[in-house]
Amino acid sequence: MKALWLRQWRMLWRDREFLFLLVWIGLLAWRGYRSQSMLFVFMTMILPVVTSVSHRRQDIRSGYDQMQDALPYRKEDPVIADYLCGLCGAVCAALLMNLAGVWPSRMIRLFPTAPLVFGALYLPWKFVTSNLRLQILCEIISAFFIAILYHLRNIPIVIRPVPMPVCIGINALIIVFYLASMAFAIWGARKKEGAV
Amino acid sequence: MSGAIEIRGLRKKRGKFLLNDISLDIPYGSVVGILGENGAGKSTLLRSVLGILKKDAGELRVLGCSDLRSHPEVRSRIGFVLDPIGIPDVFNAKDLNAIYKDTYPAWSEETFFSILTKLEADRNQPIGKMSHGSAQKTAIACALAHDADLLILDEPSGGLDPSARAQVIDLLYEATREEGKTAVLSSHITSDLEKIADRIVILKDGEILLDEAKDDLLEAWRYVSTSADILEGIAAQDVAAKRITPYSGEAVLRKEAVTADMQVRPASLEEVFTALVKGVI
Repeated sequence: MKALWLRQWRMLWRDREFLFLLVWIGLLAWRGYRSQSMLFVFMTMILPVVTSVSHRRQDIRSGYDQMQDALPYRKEDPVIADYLCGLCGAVCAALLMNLAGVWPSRMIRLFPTAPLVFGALYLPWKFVTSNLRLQILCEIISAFFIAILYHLRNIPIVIRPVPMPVCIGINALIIVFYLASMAFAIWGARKKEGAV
Repeated sequence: MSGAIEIRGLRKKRGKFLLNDISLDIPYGSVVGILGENGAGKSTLLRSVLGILKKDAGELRVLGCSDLRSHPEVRSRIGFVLDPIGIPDVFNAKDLNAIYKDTYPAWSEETFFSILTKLEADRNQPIGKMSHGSAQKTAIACALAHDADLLILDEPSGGLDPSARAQVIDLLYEATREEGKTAVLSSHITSDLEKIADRIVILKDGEILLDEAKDDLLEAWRYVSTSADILEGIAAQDVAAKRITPYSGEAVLRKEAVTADMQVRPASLEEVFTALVKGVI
C-alpha cells in the first residue's frame, strides 16, 4: 500500500505535464476569481478528469496497468491508492473553487465534499471491468455527465442559506456515495480475473 | 500436481489469435526456453501464467497456487520481465528501488544496484529517456533483486547488444543455478536459450509444436551435407527441412537417418527450430 502510494506521488511529481497542469489550473482559478465566471470554475474541475483520462490511455498503451497486475499488491490496494489520490484532488478542487468566485465560493463552503462526486463517478470503472471497450464507454458516460454539468454553468443560481442539518446531510451523502463507489471498485477488483 | 508451473488444456483467445490446448509441466529447478515466431503466442502464454490475462479455459497452477491474483504472497516469489517492459517512463532506477523495497518482502537494494552496476545501466536517467537496452537492463535488475523462486522473462535479451546480451544471459545463468530456482524465458534468439535452457518448448500458431529436453532435442537432429540423390531417398518423417541444389543437398535429419556417405555435424538449436517451424534451412 505504501509502495503504491509512493508510486502514485512519484509519478505525479516526476510528470512535468502534471506540474504544468497545476499551474494552468491555478491560473484558471485566479482568472475565475477575477472575472466571476463559471467557465473557469468548471475548467478547474474538468481538467484533472481530462488529464486522468489521457494518463489512463497512456497506461494502457505502455502496458503499465498490466504490469501492476503482476506485482504482489493486494487487490484492494490499487483501488485505495487511487481513491486517496481522488480525495487529495477533491480537496485541491475545493480550495480552488473557494477562490473562483462568489457563487462557487458560497457553494463550496456549504458543500465542501462536492468535488468527490466527480471522482466517485469516474474512478471505479477500470477496477470493475477488464473489458477495455466497456471501461472506455463507462468513462465517456462519466465525462458526459460532467460535460452536462459544465453546460449548466450559466444557469443563474442563487445560493440561499441552507439549514445546517441539510448541509451536513448532503455532505454526508456525498461521502457515503464516494465510499460506496470505492466499495464497488474493490468488489470489482476482487472479482476481476485478469485482462480480457 | 506439484511442479513450479502446471498447465492443463489452457486456452486463451485474443482478437483473432488463439492459444489452444496448452499443457505443460515445469518442475522446480528447471530452466525452460519458449521459442516461437512473432505472434506464436509466447507473450500470451507468459501473461496468462502471471495472471495478467484471464484464461478462457483450462487449469493453471503457479508455485502451487491456482489463483495467483488473490495471493500477493505467491506473486512476491515471482520475478518477471514483460515485453513491453511496462515500467512508467518517469521513473529512474532509484525510484524503482524505493517503490519495490516496499513491494517485495525479500527485495535487496544491494543486489539491485550491483546488477545495475554489472550491466552498466544508468540509475539516474528516467526509463522514458533510456535506450531500449538500458530500460531492459533495469527491468531485468528488478526481476532478479528479490530472490524470486520463479522467473518469468518475456524476451529478456531483446533489444540488447551482443555484449549486454552475454552479460544478461550470464546473470540469468547464475540466478537459475541455485537449487530450486525455476525460470521460463521466451525468446526468438535461439543462441541465448541454447546457452541457458535445459528444456525447449516450441510454439507455433498458438499450439505446442515440441516440448523436449534441450540435450535430447539437439541429440536427435543432425545437419548433413550430401548429394541430392541420397537426400531424395530419405523418408519424409526423418527430414525436418532440406535444401537441394543441382550439385548437392543439405538437410536437418533425424540422427537415425544419417548414413555413412553424408558429411555430418550437430545441428544448432536455431537450425532445428527453423527446420521444424518453417521447414527451411
